[in-house]
Amino acid sequence: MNLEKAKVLDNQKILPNYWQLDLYAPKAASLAQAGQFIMLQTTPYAEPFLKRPMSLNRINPEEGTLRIIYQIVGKGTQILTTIPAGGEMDIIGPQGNGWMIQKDYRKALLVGGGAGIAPLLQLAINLAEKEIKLDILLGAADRDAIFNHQEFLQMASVSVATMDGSRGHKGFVTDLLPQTPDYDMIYTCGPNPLMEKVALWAGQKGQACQVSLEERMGCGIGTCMGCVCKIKSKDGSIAYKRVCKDGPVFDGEEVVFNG
Amino acid sequence: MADLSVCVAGVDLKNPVLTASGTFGYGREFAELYDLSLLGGIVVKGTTLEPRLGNETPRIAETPCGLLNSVGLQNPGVEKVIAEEIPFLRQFDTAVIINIAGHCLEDYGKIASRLDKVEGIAALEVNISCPNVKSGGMAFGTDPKVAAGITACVRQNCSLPIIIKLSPNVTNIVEIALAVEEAGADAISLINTLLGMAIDIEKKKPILANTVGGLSGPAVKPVALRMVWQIAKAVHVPIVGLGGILTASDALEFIMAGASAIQIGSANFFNPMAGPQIVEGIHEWLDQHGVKDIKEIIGAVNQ
Repeated sequence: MNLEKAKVLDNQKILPNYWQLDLYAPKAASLAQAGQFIMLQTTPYAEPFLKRPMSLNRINPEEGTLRIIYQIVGKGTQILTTIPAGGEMDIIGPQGNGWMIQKDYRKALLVGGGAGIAPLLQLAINLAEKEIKLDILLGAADRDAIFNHQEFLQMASVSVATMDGSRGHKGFVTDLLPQTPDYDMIYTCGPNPLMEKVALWAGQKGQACQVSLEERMGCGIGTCMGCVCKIKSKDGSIAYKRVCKDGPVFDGEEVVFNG
Repeated sequence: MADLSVCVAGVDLKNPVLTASGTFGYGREFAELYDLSLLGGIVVKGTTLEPRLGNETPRIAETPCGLLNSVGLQNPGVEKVIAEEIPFLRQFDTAVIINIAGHCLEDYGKIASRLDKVEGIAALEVNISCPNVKSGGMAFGTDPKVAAGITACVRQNCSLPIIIKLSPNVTNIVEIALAVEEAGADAISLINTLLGMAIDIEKKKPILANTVGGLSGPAVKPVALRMVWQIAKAVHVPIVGLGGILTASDALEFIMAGASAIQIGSANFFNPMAGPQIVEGIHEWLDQHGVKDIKEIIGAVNQ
């Protein structure tokens, strides 16, 4: 496990409620895989008390940098916006398992919603490098919550849905799921109802699907059993698995949502 | 260097710094970060006879200077702990203390008896104070007669030293402490978490799936310290103090209030290196103040 003092290279607002944080953390950057996350301490003063799990939007091992895109949701992320370039913060990571990619994939679908779009960019880059054909669906409440659109467009066909119709399709991003999918893997990250719908749809269509879960975390290193999710085994038995250590990426078929 | 060794419940500890149950798992993750032999001891995750699934999620809610949890004693059960976790922990030169919990009196007797002859266990910490389980748990620790009954039952079923972990969710904690001491406790640890609650005002619902949970972290430290101080004056058995300890200075407060040893709980989340750093910090403080032996300052405020 890697503990590191990360240096803030840049921390700027990119959309009304989203910020982009660039960190210099050479050890973490050298170890990180797409789909993993870091635990980030917003203040050294124990208030707020817990570290924040943050997915990795970009990983650059050569330069030793990590990019995080975060939504302002509470005290911790508000404090995070005040940390200027040159500031330091304690991080733990990379944590978790990351997205699973197999060499023989030819075509993949990525479905992201809101802040869940963030960890899909590094995934898309890695898939594109392997010359895997990509379709990307992005959803959010409105156009002010769609980020990385241009970066995705460079690699794939991208369809957008917003709840207010301010960009792309008006409605849920899951309205855009194709009738006859032929993907080797479907990757999704976003609010639970979105991922549940994608996983259900993938199952019905006989498509493999990976979901990246989010849960309130205590330790973020696998000890506290705070961030568990319900996982159904092949034999039908239910177990709680740790999102931080056993996940955050799980097989969509195994996850029991709404529980 | 000052002498940091202490004796609790007949167990010799190289230093007074233990890790608290439920915040350290079975040590595996922290063993990746530092040598667990640096610790005086490790109190493992609350262990029950049968595996426990634990509570629904969310199980965690952050609160001012702390957090609420309602994990509900998720654990793999005593047999798996004996087979897989205790052998792992045995490789470290540190006291391994198994925290046990049960649904009923009989459970406590059975699990104590099962662990009695297992190699590598220094002591049992008996959880009669978990606020997150529906039956048993905290209810056992809020009635002096019941608390004494469990203590006596564990005593009868094993020869290991026993530490009874008390709940702060009582009107008179001294009464409970005296009852468990009388019933055969070799030491008393306190405090378990304080029962609390947080509400999501947008959803108009409690944040925790279990509605209520146990509060820990620096927010509870003054309450914990007061209770340790109260009990130190009332009982003769050693006390293990815990509740919101984040730094060596916090640890020293508990020791001066009368604790022979301390446990680090939620601080393991805030700073995974808290254990060895607090040991180091206590060393430094003692050296700076010319104290040769930590035992000289145990209960200093009462002298």
